[in-house]
Amino acid sequence: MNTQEFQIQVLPVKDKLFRLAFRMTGNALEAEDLVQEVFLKVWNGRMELESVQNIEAWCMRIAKNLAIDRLRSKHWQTRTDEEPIIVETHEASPYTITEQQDTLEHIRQIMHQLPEKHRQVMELRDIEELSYEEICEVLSMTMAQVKTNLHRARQAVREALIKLNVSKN
Amino acid sequence: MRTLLFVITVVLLGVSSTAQAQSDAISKYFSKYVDDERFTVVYISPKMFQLFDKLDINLDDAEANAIKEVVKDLRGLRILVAEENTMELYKEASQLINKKEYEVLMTVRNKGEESVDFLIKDNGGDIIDELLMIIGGPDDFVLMSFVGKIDINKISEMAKAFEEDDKE
Amino acid sequence: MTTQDIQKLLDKYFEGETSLEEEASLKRYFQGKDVDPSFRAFQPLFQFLESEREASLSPSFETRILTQIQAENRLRMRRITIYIARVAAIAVMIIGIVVLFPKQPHMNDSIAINWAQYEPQTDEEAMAETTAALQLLASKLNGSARTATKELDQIKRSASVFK
Repeated sequence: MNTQEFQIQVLPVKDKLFRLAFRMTGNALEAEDLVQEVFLKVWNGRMELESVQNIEAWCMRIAKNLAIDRLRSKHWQTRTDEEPIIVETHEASPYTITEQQDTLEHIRQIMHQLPEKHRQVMELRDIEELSYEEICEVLSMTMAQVKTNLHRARQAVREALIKLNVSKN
Repeated sequence: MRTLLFVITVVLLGVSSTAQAQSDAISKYFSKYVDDERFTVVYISPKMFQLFDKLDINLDDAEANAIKEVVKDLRGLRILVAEENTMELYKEASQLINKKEYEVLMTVRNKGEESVDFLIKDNGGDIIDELLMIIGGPDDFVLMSFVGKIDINKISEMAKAFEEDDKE
Repeated sequence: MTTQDIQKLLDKYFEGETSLEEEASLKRYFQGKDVDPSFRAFQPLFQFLESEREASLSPSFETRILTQIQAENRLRMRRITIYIARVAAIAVMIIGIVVLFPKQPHMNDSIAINWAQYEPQTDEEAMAETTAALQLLASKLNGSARTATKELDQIKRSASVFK
């Protein structure tokens, strides 16, 4: 694979990788750094790429694993000080947000209350629009697990949405 | 990577040095007895063989010619002769010869008297690299190594020439 | 799409049974302005999903990665060059050893065993030795039981002369 092919076949996945990394680390700078690491890794191991069927899913899987590694090492470094960063970065000050942002923020909260696996499946499906097969590959799950997790996630979100709507009105 | 190359180097060194060590059976054997006065030693160098062309041999024509033919192929000759402990020396020599390296051409055993082993080192053809003769008799032990590009047919021609001579 | 269609799709969606195409049409519907009031509760979800998709890397990122990859290539080339140079150096060394070795053991042997000291001084003597040796060989090859004393004596005699 040459630079040009890399640019066409691999680089377009960058935003998906970035969002995945951002959702996991909660830090834009770190997410960007992580995406960079993924690409360098993929580039240096590009011989392997020949046998990869779905480059996008493959890259996302690498990104997910790298993010887990980073979170793990960070967890050990700072485990005494704070909560996972995810929550704090997304928590905007209540005074600065408009009503719509407020609503979106509520949804974000709902999503974050989901069990991690449920949330991850739903994010990959509904934000990144991956096929079930791709989700299986990225998250190393079976098809049945993906479907169950998605079902539970959406059911939980639905209930939360209805509850939210009721409390608003 | 470095480890790999190190291993390759060591292996190559090992292979080449063992191959060399084994290739010279007579040196290997004789190194043990180098200072032993009981041994009579003869060595003819490759240089000497180059001088032989001009010399005449004091023998019948047939025998002389046969010998001359063989001498042409020779590049070295080493002989060890001992008159004490001959049977032990013979046994020891036979054991020391690497059977993978040398092929037994012929073994002659005379009941209780004398054993003769002929061993060759060849490349699969009629031209052999070395001919080794080990004689173990009650009175003599002889270890003889001819090296060169020796044509085995010429050797048998030579043997025949002498056989005919014996009959006469 | 009718309200009923949407309702069906929504139900299917929450059951986790929609296809990517169906999900896309749901998203399109909720991005529109005419969302039926009965579905209002679900609109924020689709807005959220849409807004999440907007997050992207800066446009300069791609150039940065490409530059880095090219730098990596050069670095790798340099590494490969160094590697090849090292392999070549070792190969030369090994070839050197292999080329030199066949002579060395002989030298070693002749140092350990100084064969030259056992060599007859004259070519006539040497020829006589060789002839005797070959005669002995011939007689042994012929299976002669008696030790060819004559030849052996020749060898012993001349050897003791120059010893």
